[in-house]
Amino acid sequence: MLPKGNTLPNQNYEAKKIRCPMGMEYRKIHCILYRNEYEDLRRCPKCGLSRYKVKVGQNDEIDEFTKEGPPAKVVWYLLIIPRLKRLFAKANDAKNLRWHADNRKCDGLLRHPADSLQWKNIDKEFPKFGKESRNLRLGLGTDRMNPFGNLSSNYSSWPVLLVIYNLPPALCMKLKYMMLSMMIYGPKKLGNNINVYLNPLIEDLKLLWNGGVDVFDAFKNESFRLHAMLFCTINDFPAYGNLSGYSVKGHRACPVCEDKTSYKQLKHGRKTVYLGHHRFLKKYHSYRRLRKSF
Amino acid sequence: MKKKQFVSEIWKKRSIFFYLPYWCKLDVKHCLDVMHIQKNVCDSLIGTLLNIKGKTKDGVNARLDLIKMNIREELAPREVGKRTYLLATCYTLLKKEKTSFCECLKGVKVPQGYSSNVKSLVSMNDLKLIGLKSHDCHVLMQQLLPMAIRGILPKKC
Repeated sequence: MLPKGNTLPNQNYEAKKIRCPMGMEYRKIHCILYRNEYEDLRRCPKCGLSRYKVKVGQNDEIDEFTKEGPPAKVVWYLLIIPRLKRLFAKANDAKNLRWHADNRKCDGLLRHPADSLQWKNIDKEFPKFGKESRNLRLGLGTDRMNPFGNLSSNYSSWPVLLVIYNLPPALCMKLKYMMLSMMIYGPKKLGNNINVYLNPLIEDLKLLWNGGVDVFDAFKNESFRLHAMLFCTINDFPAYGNLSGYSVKGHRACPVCEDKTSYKQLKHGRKTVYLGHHRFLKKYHSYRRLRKSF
Repeated sequence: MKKKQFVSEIWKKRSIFFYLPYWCKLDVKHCLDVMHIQKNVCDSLIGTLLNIKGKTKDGVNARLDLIKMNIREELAPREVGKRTYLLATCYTLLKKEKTSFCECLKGVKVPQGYSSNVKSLVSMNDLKLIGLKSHDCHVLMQQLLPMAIRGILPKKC
């Protein structure tokens, strides 16, 4: 299967032994709450639920010391900082990460998020961040995915992907450069609880913004302080609601118009439709005269 | 009557991203997945055009709602005796037209890596498009659909 001269480790344990020192480890976190100061707790400090799975029929009361077993909820967090370090350690990749400042065509056309207004506004708002072209701007994408068939609804998994927008558009969305940073799975829908699960990622991002991390750049052969920011999130509409905290259902579904959303409840179709898009046109737009064709 | 929702009630929670110090300075915080939306639009468009059962957006209820909204009176469902008839609209295709639509798509050859083989997506037996991936929907909407409909448009438009 493999080309000559390459071998696969026999056991998962051996594979991990090679991978982990290189920074390719992942962390399984039990229900997120049990981190930092809560690491050794057995129960949720707020609601008192057990950290570990409770068998059916067994009494919920567990000793503080005895009970152990499979955790009730697990999140996989794949550390992002060591991966960013590894990206910069390769000269070619480190060069590509400066692409948006060095090799980008600037002719006013929109090709890449770097041409957008927001990118420039950030440069203006945070001149220290914008000056260093190696500072990363990340996009976060998440969606519910069903690994087992199309319609089974009793299992859901949410991969959280990070995309680096410093890279040229040809590489930006390539599998090699997209980072799976989190894997949230479980039998229940996530809903608004996604906040809790995203905690460790946000902590790392905060560290990357406030303090920064010392990184060696192989292209310039120097080490520098890397900062990174979250540029935007990309998701579908229901996930938009979960991430932003807006309820994207019902009569006020538009998060931009909020309570000025124009809606109509269909009596027979029993659906809510959102009409009145004419009002977004300019006052003398030519479409306004074409009332008949619409 | 239901109580009117206030703005503070529509926002269910404070997003965790606001813990990032720069988050409130961003102009566009969340983007929508355009390919996903395009796929939905494409699906319902083709469902309505080819009148695929379960996919079409046209039906008795849709027509009744038109009466309610006081638009397009000519499309109102007609009741003759016991039966209700839905009149043909400008997008209703005859079987002959559907066949020519599907045959047109069946004859399309695309370069490698451009989209999936369109020929294999068309099922001539029940005049449907099956197994569209979201990128195929993009190609359909952008290039193939206008070409396929061109043959079946009414002469004078």
